[in-house]
Amino acid sequence: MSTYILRKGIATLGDLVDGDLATKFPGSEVIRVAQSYNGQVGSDGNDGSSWEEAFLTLQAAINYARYSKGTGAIDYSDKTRSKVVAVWPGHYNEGEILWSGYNINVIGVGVEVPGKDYGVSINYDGAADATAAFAFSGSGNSVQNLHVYCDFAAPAIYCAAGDNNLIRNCVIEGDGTNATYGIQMSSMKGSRVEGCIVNGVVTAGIYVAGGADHYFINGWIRDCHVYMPGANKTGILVDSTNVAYNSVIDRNFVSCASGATSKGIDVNTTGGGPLVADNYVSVPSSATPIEHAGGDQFLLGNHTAAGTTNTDPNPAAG
Amino acid sequence: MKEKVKVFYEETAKVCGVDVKDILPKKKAVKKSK
Repeated sequence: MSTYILRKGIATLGDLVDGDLATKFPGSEVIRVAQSYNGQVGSDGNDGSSWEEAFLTLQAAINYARYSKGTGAIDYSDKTRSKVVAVWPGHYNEGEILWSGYNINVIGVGVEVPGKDYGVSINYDGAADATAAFAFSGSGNSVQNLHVYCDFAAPAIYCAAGDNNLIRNCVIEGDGTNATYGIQMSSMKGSRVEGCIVNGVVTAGIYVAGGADHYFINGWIRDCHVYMPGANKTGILVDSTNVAYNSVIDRNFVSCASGATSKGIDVNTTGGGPLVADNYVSVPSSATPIEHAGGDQFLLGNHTAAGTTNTDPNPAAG
Repeated sequence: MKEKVKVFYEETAKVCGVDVKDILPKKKAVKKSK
């Protein structure tokens, strides 16, 4: 039987079909989207209450989840609401998928490891052309178990603003030429990026931006794999104007295989962090494994290789 | 900017209580021709 994974526990698709996601998301309404389920094509005229009544497009299902019932208005006054948008395996080529809302969980089902032809793949054919392949904002949202492809000059997944968001177990694939960031987080106050795989983007694999209202507080980037071949690239990048403390970048695996002057992990903000600990970083001798503007006190137990120079663990700036 | 994108940023500003100008993508500098 196919399964889907919520990292801390596995439930079966049978559970999901029976609407038993309540055990994982108590009180949530489950809204289903399927391009094709048992040969039956979804329809945006459906209400997503069962797989037989699934939406056709992800955008329509998410809109249904985020709007007040029967309206086109976003419900963001009731922060106790919770919706699960369960996405059946398939290719969802809809152009940019853009949404803002509260407490919406977009979860791909079908396989535990999403890929282009396995599980849910978004923008499989490179249909999007601006902003991001998948952009969202708001708070209390999660995006899980998705494969996202990006072949234009924008991030694959872009969180434009908000707090307490989660991006988990997503596989990001850029075209190696145009895609800028795998995951761009404009702000990470209480937000987490974990268990994601990024390759084929040209600027940075995971990027935490800076500027007004941009934070990296009480959050983490954890258990991600980032591959950045080529020069002048960064695996994980935190902007200098980001307000950061009590956050962690840990247990990530970053490889800048051939990247002269590249940086594995580059934290440009100062002050209280984030702590960079227990990461594994491999770069050429001409590149920098880890750099932290806050100083060596925020580098703890990392494992780096720069060319043939291995430092394991690395007690100070790599 | 496409209408769909414009709506997204307007909704983001409303939902997140931020200023639209703080979340719009930074425009790249354009070189002036001599």
